[in-house]
Amino acid sequence: MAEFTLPAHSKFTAGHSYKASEGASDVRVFQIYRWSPDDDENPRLDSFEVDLDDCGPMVLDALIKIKSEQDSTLTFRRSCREGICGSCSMNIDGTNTLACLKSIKDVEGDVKIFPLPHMPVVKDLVPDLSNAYRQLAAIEPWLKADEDAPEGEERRQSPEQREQLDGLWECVLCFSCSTACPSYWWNSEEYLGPAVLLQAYRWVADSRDDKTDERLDALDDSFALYRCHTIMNCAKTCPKGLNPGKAIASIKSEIASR
Amino acid sequence: MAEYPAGITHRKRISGVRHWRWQRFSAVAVLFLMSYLVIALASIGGMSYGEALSFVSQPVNAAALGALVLAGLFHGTMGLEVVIEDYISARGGRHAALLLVRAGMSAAALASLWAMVRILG
Repeated sequence: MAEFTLPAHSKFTAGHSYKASEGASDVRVFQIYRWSPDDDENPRLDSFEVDLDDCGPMVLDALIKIKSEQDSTLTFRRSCREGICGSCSMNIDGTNTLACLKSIKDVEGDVKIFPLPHMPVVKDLVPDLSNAYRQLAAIEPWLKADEDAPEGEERRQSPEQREQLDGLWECVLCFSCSTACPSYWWNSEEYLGPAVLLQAYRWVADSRDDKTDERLDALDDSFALYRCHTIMNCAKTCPKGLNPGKAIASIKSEIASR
Repeated sequence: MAEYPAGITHRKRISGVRHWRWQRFSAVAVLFLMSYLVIALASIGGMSYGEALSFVSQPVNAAALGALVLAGLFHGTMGLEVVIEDYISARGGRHAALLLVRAGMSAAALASLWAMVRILG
């Protein structure tokens, strides 16, 4: 059965509190989920006071400041800090997003930060994305053409054909959408989830790809694709403003019209 | 045709397009037939019991009501199937629940049609 409550060992408790340095002028509290695989303790919620007058504007800036100045064991993924790499996806203020694109000023009150929901946790804010990456590999996200590109030339597309990929190629694979999707929560072993299905449609929609039918065949499964019930959490949460639900609807439409 | 669905290796592909398509066909049918039902119920409101029976016995009304029962229960069955598949992951429990829903909905359809036949008779 689907699980609607957290298992006993996953329920978090109140954790440590870290004060801002003396003379801090604009203090905000960051409540951050902590869990370590190295002990048998339940997760906890640590509180860190951060002086926003001495911190960059984004939530990722505050996390880096906390790690540098207050607790170096705080663990999270980050790389580009400008919304391109998709590494710093996490649940901030109740919404999955990228910490580098989330302004601290957009959050009212304490800033609560959790790892992406419903994924195994490796440590603190780092989720285990192995299953999502396995599913991404399964849709074979690369160009499959029957013939080689003309010698020394690119495979050409008309502007209209290229437009079909807008809203698809921008995905940074942060998996904010998949981990916001109740269907993915309940059936993540078989349902591919919005992030992977958006990638799948990116190749179905590509005029240069010759394996559209094979791709649609592999997607036409009652669980791999049709667990999407257009709940649309995916589009609501996407930090890049994309609409995976629309891409999934397009896949269904392509399959139905064959 | 791909034998296995993308990302799934422990079972063969179960196409979902037919179920998806019939959900939509039956939804459109139910939409029209429910609109008819609202109008029909508004007409029946002022009638005596005998007049109402005679209204339902008219071939067009009887056919529309019968179609509504069948389309509505069919649509409802498909909706419940999706809910069961979503939330019950244990194989045995899922199959048992699906059977129970299909049997219950079939019984409801038969009972409704039998009532219609009695009115017509």
